[in-house]
Amino acid sequence: MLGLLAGVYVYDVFFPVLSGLGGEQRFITLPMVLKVRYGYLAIALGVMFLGLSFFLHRIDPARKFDGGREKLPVLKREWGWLPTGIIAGLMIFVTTAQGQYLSFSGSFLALGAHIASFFDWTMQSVPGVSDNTAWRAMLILGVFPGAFVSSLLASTIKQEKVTPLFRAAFGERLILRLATIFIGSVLMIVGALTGGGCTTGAFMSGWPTLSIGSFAMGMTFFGSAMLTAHILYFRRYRLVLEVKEKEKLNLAND
Amino acid sequence: MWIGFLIGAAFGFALHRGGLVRYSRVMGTLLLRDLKPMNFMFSGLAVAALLYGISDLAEFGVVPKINGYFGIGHLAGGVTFGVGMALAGL
Repeated sequence: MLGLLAGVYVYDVFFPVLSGLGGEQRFITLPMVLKVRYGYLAIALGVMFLGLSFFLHRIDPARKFDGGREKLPVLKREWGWLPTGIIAGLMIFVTTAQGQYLSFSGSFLALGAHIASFFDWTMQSVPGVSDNTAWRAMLILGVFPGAFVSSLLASTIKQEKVTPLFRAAFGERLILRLATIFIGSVLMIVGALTGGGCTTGAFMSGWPTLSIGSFAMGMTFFGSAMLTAHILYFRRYRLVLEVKEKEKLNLAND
Repeated sequence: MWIGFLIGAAFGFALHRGGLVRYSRVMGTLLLRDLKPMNFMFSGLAVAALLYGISDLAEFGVVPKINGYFGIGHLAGGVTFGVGMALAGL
């Protein structure tokens, strides 16, 4: 969280440069380009991605390591992608019904602005705090207790300092792990605020709106993240499944 | 305002409970060895798209906000975000 908040202020320092990249924003959507009613295209996208999820589930190489969780009570075990995906999708819709937009990066920016306002400082990237920014700041402030309650119920609060897959790839170096989290978090928030959203804002919330900007951002960051991950784990890709099997990875030890 | 807090809490609960905060899941998806996070994101956006679509056709009045398009800004931001995501494994 410290890295993400630091990223907000780094973004704010470079705001005049970063916000000017790409020039004037254009609000283009796929229905505008194809001249088809939004509702039909949104339903087609929904059906397509739901079908894709079931297909990918069938060919998921890690699926065999998820067995055994049904032996645990429902509040102790990890839940599947479908129930958690449905909760996330419903929350995106409810947020929109509230006249808001579910995005972690934008919410962090709003939180940063409210923290700055305590010190009578107005950020360049957020001209002023309002009920709207307060709503968004509250959204991100809710995420952490929500995850904490889940962790408490599952009795997974106590974790290993260096997660087993990272340890297998890069050694038991806590400083290195903390550095990757901090630098990665700063880059994530600066990148998200520069490019128009994060995994939630540009992808999960953005793609259902059929925004061309969200399509461009989602494809770019997933391409970049996959390339970076392949460089980091070059010729060690097998570690993911090996460590899962050897360490019996689950919510409590990963 | 508290509705925002509750929505965030529900989303955070789902993220943790689905194992989406696990390092091996995030890196596994980026290395195409563990597809659960991908399926979570795909199913989440599918549910939202279906609800938006139905809402539009039935004219419920729930209209999503649109993110703008700004060319090279997506490239610069996307590349930076992607490097950070793979480094942090978040």
